Amino acid sequence: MKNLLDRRRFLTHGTAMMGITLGSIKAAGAQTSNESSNDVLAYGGRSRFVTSQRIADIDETHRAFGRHEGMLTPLQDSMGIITPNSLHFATMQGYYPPDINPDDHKLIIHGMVDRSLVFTMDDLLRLPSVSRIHYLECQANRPEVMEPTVQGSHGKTSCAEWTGVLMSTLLQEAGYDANAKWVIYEGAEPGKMVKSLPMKKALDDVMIAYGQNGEPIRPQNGYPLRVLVPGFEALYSIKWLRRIKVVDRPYMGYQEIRQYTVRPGRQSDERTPFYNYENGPKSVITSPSGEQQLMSGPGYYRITGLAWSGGGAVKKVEVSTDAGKIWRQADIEGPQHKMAHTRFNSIWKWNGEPTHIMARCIDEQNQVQPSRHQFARYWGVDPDKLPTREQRGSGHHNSIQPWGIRENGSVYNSYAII
Amino acid sequence: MKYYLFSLILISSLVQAQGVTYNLGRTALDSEIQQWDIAINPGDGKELPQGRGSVVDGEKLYATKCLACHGVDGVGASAPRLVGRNTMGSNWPFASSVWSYINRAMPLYLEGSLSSDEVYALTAFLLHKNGIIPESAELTQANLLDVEMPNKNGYVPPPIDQWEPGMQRLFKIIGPEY
Repeated sequence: MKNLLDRRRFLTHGTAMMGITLGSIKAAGAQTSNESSNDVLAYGGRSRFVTSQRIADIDETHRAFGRHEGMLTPLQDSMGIITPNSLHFATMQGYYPPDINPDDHKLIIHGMVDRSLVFTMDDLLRLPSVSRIHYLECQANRPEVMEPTVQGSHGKTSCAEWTGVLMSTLLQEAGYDANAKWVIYEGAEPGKMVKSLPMKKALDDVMIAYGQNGEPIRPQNGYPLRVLVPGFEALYSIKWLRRIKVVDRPYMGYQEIRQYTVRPGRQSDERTPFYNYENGPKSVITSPSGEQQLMSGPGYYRITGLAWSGGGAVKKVEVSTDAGKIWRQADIEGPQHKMAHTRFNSIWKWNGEPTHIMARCIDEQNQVQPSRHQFARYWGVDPDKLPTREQRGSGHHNSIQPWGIRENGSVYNSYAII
Repeated sequence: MKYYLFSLILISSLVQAQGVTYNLGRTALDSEIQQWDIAINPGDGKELPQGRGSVVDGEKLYATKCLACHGVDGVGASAPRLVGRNTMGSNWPFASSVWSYINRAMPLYLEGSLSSDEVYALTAFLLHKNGIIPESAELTQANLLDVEMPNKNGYVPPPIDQWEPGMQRLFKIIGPEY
């Protein structure tokens, strides 16, 4: 982990230096290009100067990378709203991705239906399709007091253009029972993860996706087929999908009990809701962010970040550069899709004094991203103990992430201070 | 022309009402459904296969198939604790979830290798270790759902009928403007 952090710190500095060295044609020409590699030519690789990569969740370093919880997106290097497929976050729930030959893969839809059907991948490709841009976010994605970088704290969210068939199309093909209130669906990995979803959502906008940013979904994100439940915590979006069953009630699979119920922290007499659905309105400044550096002292800098909400489109983003006293509306850089990352920018003139910068999201339902103290007050927990697993409300934690700026321009996580 | 258009709209709306079918996908065989139909309805357990297993059987199986990772008596080792606070015994509301998870996902790397009888036996042993059923108990498809889990009332019923597309979140966090 330490190595990765050091590498990232170097990269940050390296990227900032690039503007200076670009003019030096001699230096670039003297270096052997890696474009002689067949792989790089046939399936375009990136410049050797670009080395941004996923990292393991900091809690998981003792476990196998890529099998357990976190492979975190390097948000600090992100541009626009689309996450490259190689960098899309993945939580693996204990399994490496199954090695599925799409010719052998099948999807069964059964239960409270007129016709139990089996679809091959070829069948699915013949059905009407949609392409939509949606984020995915793990419900455990949140500010972390001990996590120095935005990748470590917020890297469990990514955004892609997903292509596939609407679940409603498949349900209609099978002739679903109008009395059915739920669907359950299951993956093909060794643990065969199962999830329950209200039928109303299944019929609304849920996708059975086979495409991710213009190519087949990557193995770690569910190749060849996955569920995509826009705006809901990413647990709903089961990967390596092989079965959909139309049922009359939720089934309470393992992951639905063990980790993904959010218990109201206020009082122990409050009971646990079975499930949670939408992610709250959220945003984070991706640059400048923790462990980065304002390289050239006082002057103009571009504050840039991502905002999203399970409640629909992002309506506006506000940025504060004085620790939350004054909030100014940020510029929206590109499209504002529903349940999608939305890129915001704000040009800021830093006067060289220590301060804290932060952003907050307001979505189309006028839900406002809360501060740490507001969040703690709502859940009835000690704000100085947020977020911990013991203090309930640690999941679906959407409070504001501040970044502190030191006089020397170094940026640090100031969540515990603000 | 007007009439022609009108009748075209009429026909297409009739087709809509009956449900468009693309005639894609083949009819699923009962055998292939049965093989994959492994999630257990916590209400009636209708997907449970026939089988039986006792606490005593489960204790022996546990020693050979589970103990190495989950520790003696389920106290936990490299794999999570199975007995006591914040485990299946104290937290899970339905015995069906225990059966379903052992059946689908255990033992790690040998998933699906247990027979139905073995899954009933292991479920019985773990429920006994959690003080929920007596040592003399035997579980079958007929009585698994009769097991009363201590936390069976510990979960708020899912607010399914409250959910509508585009509505505000059910468990809303209060923002600065409230």
